[in-house]
Order: sequence, then structure tokens, then C-alpha cells
Amino acid sequence: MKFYNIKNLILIVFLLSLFFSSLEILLPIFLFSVFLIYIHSKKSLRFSGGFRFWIFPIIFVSLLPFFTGDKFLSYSLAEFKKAAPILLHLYLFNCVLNYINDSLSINDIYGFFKKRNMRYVGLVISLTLSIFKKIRYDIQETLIYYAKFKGNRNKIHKFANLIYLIIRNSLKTGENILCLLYLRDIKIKEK
Amino acid sequence: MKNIKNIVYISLFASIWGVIEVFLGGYLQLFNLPFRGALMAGFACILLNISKIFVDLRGSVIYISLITAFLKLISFGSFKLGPIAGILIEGFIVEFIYIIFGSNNLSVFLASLFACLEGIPHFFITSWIIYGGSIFEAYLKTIEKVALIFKIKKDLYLWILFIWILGHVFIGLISGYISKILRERLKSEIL
Repeated sequence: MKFYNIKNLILIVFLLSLFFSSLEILLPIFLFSVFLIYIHSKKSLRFSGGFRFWIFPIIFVSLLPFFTGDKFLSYSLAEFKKAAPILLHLYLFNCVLNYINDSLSINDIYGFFKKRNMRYVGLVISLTLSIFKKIRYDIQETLIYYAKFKGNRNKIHKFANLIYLIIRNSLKTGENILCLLYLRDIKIKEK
Repeated sequence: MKNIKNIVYISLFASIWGVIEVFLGGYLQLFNLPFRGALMAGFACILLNISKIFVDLRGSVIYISLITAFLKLISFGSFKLGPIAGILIEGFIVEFIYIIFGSNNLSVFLASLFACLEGIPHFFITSWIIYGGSIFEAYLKTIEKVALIFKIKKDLYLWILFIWILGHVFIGLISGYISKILRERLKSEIL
């Protein structure tokens, strides 16, 4: 129970941070959130998204004070103070998302649906996971096969044909599964 | 949702959408292509519009989007908040339009159009959540300075915004057109 309280507190503090863009107010909120995440899950403080994800905001925020100040190409501390919250928000968002990802399990999701009387969602999830690989393989095969043939029709029709092929092939997989379920006499009773 | 045929088809369409989201979505994100949200929504709409001729059930699209969001959640990569929110919102939009207008060509076009346009508020809301409110001020200042340096009009961003919205509308209409063609084709060939 205690765990969920901290989780909620982290989310509330994060939501609260969205309404402040002044560095003076945001900094204590940021530090408090990071502290909360640190005491509960240190590994959630990692940087996610890879190098490419972080490089743009860092360069953007670092260069912004050179361009947006009163004098062109002179560094403005006031402008930096205005831009710095962008990076703080981004890192906080990264940590909160890591925290949610780290504390979420498939059992929690099943439990969520079961609690709301949506137990058939669990069944659909299981079925989807079992046919996902097959559909992926079929789509890859269709794409390879389709790339070899260049028709004369316009691009929209070509694209429509591709989607048609993907859906038609996938429907065949669906029909096979249905046949199997009917043959094994697996039914879900209608109320 | 208690009919086995519905369950199989819901799993099937969720799998196709999941494959497209996980792989194509990943590639589009990797190459930072413009209109990637609208393109993914366009793909999704074609699938959802077609799913409605196979699963004649109120709420089926919401189920499909829930399962696809789940697939996206357990896929590799990080920062999935945007795509997951997009998947769920698109599902709700499409279902809402089908509930109001029924299963016809008008719904097909409206669902595609509105689901693709969802990318516009989605961009602003996710930017706000990820970077905080100061990002918009920074964007506007950058545009203002760029306009000053290159001696172009300050209201350039309004034109960019207009072209951006137009791009979403265009993708939505193309998606609606392809959905219409494929629905008719699949109806006559498979059903």
C-alpha cells in the first residue's frame, strides 16, 4: 500500500511541475521528485531514449541564450534561466516514465482488466501475443515479395494493394485459428 | 465481446496494428520524418475502418486500440507515452464516429480525418508534458529570431502551422479513400 502512495505522490508532483516554468519554483519541485524516485527506485534515474534523443534538447537549450537575448550572439543568463526548465522537465519526465515502466508488470495489467470485469481482454491479449509473431513474419514476407514487383498503377493504388495483401494474408491466419478453435470445440458462451 | 469469432478478429487486427506500430513507427521515429504521427494514424485508420466490416460490435475498435497499446508498451524502445496515448485516442475517435454515424462511407472519411488531425493537439500536449510550458516560448522566440536573421515575415510560423494542418488533412483524406476502396474490395471478395 505504501508503495502505491509514493507512486501517486511522484505522479502528483510531476503533474504539478507542468504548471511551472520559472526556474526558481521548478528547481525545488524537480529536486523533490528526483529525491522521491531515488529513495524508491535508483535505477529509474537513468537516461533513456539513447544519445540521439538527448542531443537535440541539450544543444537547443545551450544555444538558445546566444540567439534570444537582447544582443545577437552574446550569451544571456536571463535567457538561460528561461530555457533551463525545458531540460529539467525532460529529465523529470524521463525518470517518471522509467519509474512507471520499471514498476509495471503484465500481471498488473491483467489484474487491472480483471478488476474492471474485462477478463476477455486477458484472453485477447494472450491470443494476440500468440499470433503476433506469425503476423509479423507474414507482413515481412509480403513486403519482400511486393518490393520485387513494380506495377504501372499510381502510388496510392499500389499502396492500397499492399495494405490489401497484408490484410488478406492476415485474415487467412485468422480463419485458420478460427477453424482450429471450432474443430476443438472451444466456445465462449454468450449470456 | 463473447463471440469467439470477434475475439479472433480483434486479436488479428490488434496484431497487424501492433506490427505496424512497433516496426514502422520505430523506423519513422528513428529517421525523424515529418508527419509521422499522421502517417501512423492513417495506417491505423485503414485497419480500423476495415476491422468494422469483420467485427460488427460496439466498442471493438476500443478493444483493438487497448491491445495495440499493450503491444506497444511491451515492445522495445523507450518514451512510448506519445504513441500509446495516440493509439488510444485514435481508437476512441474512430469508435465514437462509428457510434454516431454508423458503418458507412461518411464514417470512414470522418474517422480517418479526425484521427489524423488528432496529431495536432497531441503534439502540443505531449510537448507540454515532456518539456514543460517554457518550450512554446522558446519555439516562438527561435522562430522570431530566425525570421529576423533571414528577413522573413514574423508570422511565418502561422504559415508553417497551416501547411502542417493541411498535411494532416491530406493524409486523413488519402487514408479515408484507401479505406473506402479496400472495404469495398474485401466485402466483395472475402465476405
